[in-house]
Amino acid sequence: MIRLHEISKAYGNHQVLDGINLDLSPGHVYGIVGENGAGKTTLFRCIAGLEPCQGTIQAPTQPLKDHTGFLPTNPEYLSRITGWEYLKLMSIARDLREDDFAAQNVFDLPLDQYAQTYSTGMKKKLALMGILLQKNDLFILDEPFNGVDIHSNMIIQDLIRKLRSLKKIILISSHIFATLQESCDSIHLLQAGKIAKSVLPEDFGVLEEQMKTFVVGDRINRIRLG
Amino acid sequence: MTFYFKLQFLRLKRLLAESGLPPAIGMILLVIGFVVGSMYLFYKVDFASWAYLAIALFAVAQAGNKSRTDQLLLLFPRKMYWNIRIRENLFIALPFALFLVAQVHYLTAAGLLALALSLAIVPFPNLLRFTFPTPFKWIPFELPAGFRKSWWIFAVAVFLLVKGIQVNNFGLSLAALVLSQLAMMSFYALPEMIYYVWIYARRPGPFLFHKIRLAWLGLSLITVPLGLVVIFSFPEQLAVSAAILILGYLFVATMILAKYSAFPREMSVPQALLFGLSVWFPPMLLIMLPVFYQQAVRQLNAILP
Repeated sequence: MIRLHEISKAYGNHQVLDGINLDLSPGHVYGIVGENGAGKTTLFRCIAGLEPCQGTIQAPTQPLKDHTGFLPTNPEYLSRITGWEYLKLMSIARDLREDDFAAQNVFDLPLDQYAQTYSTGMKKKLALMGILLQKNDLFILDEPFNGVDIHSNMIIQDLIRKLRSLKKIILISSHIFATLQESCDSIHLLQAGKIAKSVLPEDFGVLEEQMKTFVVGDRINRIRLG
Repeated sequence: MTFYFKLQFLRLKRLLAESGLPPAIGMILLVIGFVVGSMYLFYKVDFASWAYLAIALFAVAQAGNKSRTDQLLLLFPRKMYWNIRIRENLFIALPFALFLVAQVHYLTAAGLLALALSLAIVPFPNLLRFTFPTPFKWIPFELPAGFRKSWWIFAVAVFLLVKGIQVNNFGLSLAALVLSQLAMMSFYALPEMIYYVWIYARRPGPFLFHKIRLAWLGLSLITVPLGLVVIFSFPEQLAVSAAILILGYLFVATMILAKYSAFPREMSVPQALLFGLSVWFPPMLLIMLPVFYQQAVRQLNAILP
């Protein structure tokens, strides 16, 4: 189990995370929702060790980052590196001798082309393949469904289910509530840097309705359309 | 349009400020560096005007890359876009053209300005659609990426080497070897995104040795064949050729350590100066290698705890 205890992060006077407590068990999928700027990405970066923060992260294997696969919202690629070479780099980084990427190319990506020329969705799929090949224990997926076509969305959902059955821990953020409803064991609402609410599958629908009422309300009437 | 150029000037000032220099002093140093570098090239190299023209066109071509021009096309109306592109290219080419005029190469200067103008008008081909073959596919990322960017420098190095042997000029052959070593060093000049360091399951020390080991492997594949050709062609200069060959390994290692000594930022001007001094006066490596190593470990500790 990975235990997040009082995780806090501030940029100057701006408190982004304010005492986050969360227990993450193997074989579970955790959804994190919240408005833009709620702190989802910051929380993910803190867990991954890409961002220093206050509080403690207890994990059975240390350092946790060596067993963590982090899929950023917008994966950035090095120039003049092909998809194949990117996957090779991800393997080398973990001392794995993997190079049979063509056989494992579940998304049919053009691995012989430069990754920087890929479309948004292809970039995301390549980054996902990279962290999957690393055989991590913890997967942090920041908006994995964003910009990805419907077929690949279904493959990603299947992959998440497979990871869960392999007793991996998966943390997902998504603005598409339906994708979380389908794959998560619990969903946590991040508001003003705190976990404002945690719900189990039976209450996912209630949370969605509450979010609609709270976030959307009648705000679209403010803009003068037409 | 004026605002666009003001913005570019502001970006340059910020870049200089980030490198640790007051912008005014940075700009003066840039001008001095340009003039001194140009004079050195004309003093040292035969057919310098051709090499100078190639360097100038390379600089101009950087402003015409596809993603950049696409962005400009999205931002500005067509007429204003052409205006900006023409001015940009002429602005980059002008210092080179002025120096060529000062060296009484009027025709080359005129040719440079004409080519710069036409590069603004003729759309630049998107070379990224074509995956350039590389011998370093198995050891990403600096080596394959760097080779694809700098393959033409290695082609020039081979050309110089052949010419040097043909005219029995040891200096020219040695310059070919040094050129290829400098190109390899350039692969490690700029910091990568933090993510590409974070992915490593290694502590800072082993990470640095891993990077140096791969760099040395690449260096051996490129420079050792060139070095051996120089040694066999000029056996009486064995000691000098071997020394340059070995120094190449030390310089590449120093470059890697210097890069990570400032990571994730780019090297500051004082760090770059210390690195430059080490290249100019190699005994300084005895001090700078451990200093850069310690600084690099310190910088990487936060990312590879």
